[in-house]
Amino acid sequence: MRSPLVALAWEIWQRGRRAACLAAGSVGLCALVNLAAPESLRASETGQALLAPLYGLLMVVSLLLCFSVFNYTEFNSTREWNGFPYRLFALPLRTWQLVALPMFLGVLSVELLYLAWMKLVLTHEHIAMLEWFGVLLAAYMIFYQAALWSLAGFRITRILVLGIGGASSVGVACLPLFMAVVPSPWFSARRLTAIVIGLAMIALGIAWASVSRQRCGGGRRRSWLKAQLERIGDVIPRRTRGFAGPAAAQFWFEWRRAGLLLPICTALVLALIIAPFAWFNRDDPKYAMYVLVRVIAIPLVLAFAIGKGFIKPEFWSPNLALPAFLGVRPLAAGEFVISKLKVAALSVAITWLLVVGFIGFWLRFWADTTQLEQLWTQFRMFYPHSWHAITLLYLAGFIVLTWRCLVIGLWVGLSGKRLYYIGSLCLQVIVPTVLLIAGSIWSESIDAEFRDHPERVQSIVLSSIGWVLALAIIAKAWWGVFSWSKITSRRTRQYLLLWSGATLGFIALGVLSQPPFDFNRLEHLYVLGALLLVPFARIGRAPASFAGNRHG
Amino acid sequence: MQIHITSDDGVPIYIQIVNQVKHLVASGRLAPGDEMPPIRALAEQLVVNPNTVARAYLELERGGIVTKRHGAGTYVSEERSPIGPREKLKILTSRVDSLLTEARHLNVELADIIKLIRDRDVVMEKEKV
Amino acid sequence: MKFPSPSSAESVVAITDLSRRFGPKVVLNDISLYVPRGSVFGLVGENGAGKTTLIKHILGLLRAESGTVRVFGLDPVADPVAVLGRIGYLSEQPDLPGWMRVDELLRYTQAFYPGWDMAYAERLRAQFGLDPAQRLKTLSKGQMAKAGLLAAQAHRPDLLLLDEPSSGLDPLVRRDILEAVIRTVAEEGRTVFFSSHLLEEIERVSDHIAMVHQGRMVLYGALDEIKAQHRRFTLHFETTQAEPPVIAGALSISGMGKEWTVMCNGGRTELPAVTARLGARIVAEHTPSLNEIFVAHAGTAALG
Repeated sequence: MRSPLVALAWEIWQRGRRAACLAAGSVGLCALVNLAAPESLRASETGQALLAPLYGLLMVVSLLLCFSVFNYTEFNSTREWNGFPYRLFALPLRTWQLVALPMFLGVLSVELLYLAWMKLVLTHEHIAMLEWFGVLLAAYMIFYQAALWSLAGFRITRILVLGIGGASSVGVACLPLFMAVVPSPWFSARRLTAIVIGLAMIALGIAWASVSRQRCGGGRRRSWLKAQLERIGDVIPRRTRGFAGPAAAQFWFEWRRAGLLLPICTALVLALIIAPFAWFNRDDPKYAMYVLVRVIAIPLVLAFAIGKGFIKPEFWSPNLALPAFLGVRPLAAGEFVISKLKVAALSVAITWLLVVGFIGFWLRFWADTTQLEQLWTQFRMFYPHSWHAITLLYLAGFIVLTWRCLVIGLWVGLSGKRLYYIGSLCLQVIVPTVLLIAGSIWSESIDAEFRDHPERVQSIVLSSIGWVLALAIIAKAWWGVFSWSKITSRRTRQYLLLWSGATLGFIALGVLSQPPFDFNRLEHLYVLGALLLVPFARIGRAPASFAGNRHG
Repeated sequence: MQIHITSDDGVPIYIQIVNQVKHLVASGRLAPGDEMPPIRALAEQLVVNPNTVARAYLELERGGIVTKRHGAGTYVSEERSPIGPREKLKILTSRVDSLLTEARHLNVELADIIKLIRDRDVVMEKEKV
Repeated sequence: MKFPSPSSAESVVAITDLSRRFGPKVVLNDISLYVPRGSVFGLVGENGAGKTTLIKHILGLLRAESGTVRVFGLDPVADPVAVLGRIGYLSEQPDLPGWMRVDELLRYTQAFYPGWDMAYAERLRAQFGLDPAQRLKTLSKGQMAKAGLLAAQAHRPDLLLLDEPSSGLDPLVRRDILEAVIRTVAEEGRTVFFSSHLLEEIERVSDHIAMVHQGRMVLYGALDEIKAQHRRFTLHFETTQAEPPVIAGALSISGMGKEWTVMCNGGRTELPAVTARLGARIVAEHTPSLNEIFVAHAGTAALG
């Protein structure tokens, strides 16, 4: 290596060569497909419909891979943050060189990738504003790296900024399209390009300034918010009695790590997003239902996200291996799992208490409940004898579903195998995406089919769903017996009791709320589905996963 | 009782303890009838294995320097060593051999060695007083 | 190399023919060792020799691929609660959760061990100078080691397991750790097993040692016997030797010119004859320190 900059560039390549090869490979693959496919196929409607989403998806994936290659950060153990690689500061290079190199290489790579996609693959699409997207990509690469480095000490802010920035990139990219709708000079591609380039230069300057400051020992010293929280924590009276037993101590440990996260996140969302929105629209009756549905959905969505971390042995660490501190505790694997289940249950209970409290308060004081009251009287007329039970069962059902979202993946997360964890994550993201894409591709043909032969389609769909559910129940029972056979019978009885209670609740809900005009006998399908809702086999598998993780 | 152990020169620790106790007794810093610290306490003070201290005490007892009283600890023995004069000389023979070997390697004359022994004896008598 | 094994009734830890590989690398190769009750057992080896892997097998944090591991007569993988409840463990890396405070750590650990002695824990805490309200992440490395030692000792475990307890610590903390070791073993029936590459410490406090080199057991037995058997000789040759002389039964040879130092394990009586045949005489004979024995077995001058 002759020059230090070449050495640094080589290091970037070495770290990210797998992602880079994947990105380059996908471009190459699509280019080959583009070249090899006959002209007629490419030009036809079906060909376009098939290939366009595929190209689009692969292009997004390859651009994301390119961005991940230039995630030029390392963990700094003295500051405990993920920021600009600290060890590079000891090299005999000026700060602007250290900063400019990854920026320049990042912009270069992303532009090359973009050009490759445009020129080699998407030759048939007429993409307007080629330069605008190119400039935008380069600018976002600069914003991305600037955010990574300057916000290194502000972990949560950085996550928020990157998330919002990434999500809004689509919107920003579409800004010039508004020119047709709102003719204003500000939406012209040229002006926007100039603005974006200016902002990118500013971001570059900010990045350079913060890295220089970090090099001289500046940067975030101690999180003010955390210090305040710790001070509050020190003032709050802490328990001074000992624990009743190992199970209680482990419950306390898990609760301290992740117990209050779901309630706090729910409270924040309710207070910062829902409450202002509800306040501003308090006079508009049609928003009442809208807000109500969103409020009920919040714990479920948050539990789905938080559950991804909850199932790991240590919530706040990306490491899936069991820390030796916990592995050495003289506590059986089953007891560890039980403590996590209990913490999840308490967490969910508190969250729903908050939600119900908020709904009660909101409906009482703010909401314009005219529409809701109409629906409510209709509902009570419909089910004159059982509306209490149905409401309570619905609430209980939501609580159980939230708990399910938190703990369903314990058997994957506690196993310690990164492959299983990432695989399950990908499945949960990829399968719905694939279904959506498939649905959108074949939506027209499905609609046509439905119009022509409604009964046949209905019967096929319903019977296939029924068969799938039945097979799933058999598989669940078989796997459940297999995984619970290793657990003591006392615990098995306890959990079976809980499971039966919850499942009966769901079935009762289905039976009670059956509308009298149920021609398609959806109730049967619902009962089958209710048997699958409450986790059984996967919970039974969790202690074995934990034991496997603990014993290497 | 101040004893210092070094780990460097390869001499086993129990021998170092034995030698230092013998020196303390010979120079009068440990009087006959004084109580030796219990094995556990000495082990904790010196940060060595209690078995090592126990072995040192055993050696000292075998050599007649200390006596063990049942349940009452270990004391520096009142009377002189009960070993016969022939055994005493046998014990000392090996010491003299190593001294003479060393002297030969260093090319020191026998007369100088004898003078050295007399001088050291005078010094030790002075320490006792 | 087969070693004499006490009956398992006396052994707190009985490891027989244990082997372990991580991928292509063989970390432990047919290791057998037995830790007698009430002893201080020192495990010696260079970095990467497999000491931590061995200790993890004792704790049940690794499953024995081949061979058996029995602690208190039980399999730590099959019965972790019974085994771990009698073990106090101090790891090499500080793995205490940083968010806990000292008093929370003690209360949390206390709940798992019925034999926890509150008064003893409090005395140790005062002696170590740990502020109960302090968070663990603000402690220095030495204080963190002391906190871990406190949590490991306070329930008076039957087996105190220390994995390189002194690495990177200042002499004051090291002394505290050694004192803890001595205090533990001075109480009847309690055993200490610790691994270290600070051989002066091992020499001071151990009864038995085992030396592991590249996954194999090189030495095993009572420390006194091992030290008695090893001897370091200085040979003086008549003629200058260009190459290190070959002496049968020698562990290591170093030196240059006419003076060469040879380390032997036993074979005291044959050596003068052997050296006389090579044209040398023994000019000095010493008892080597454990450091020298270790280097002779594992260092670059070692033969085979």
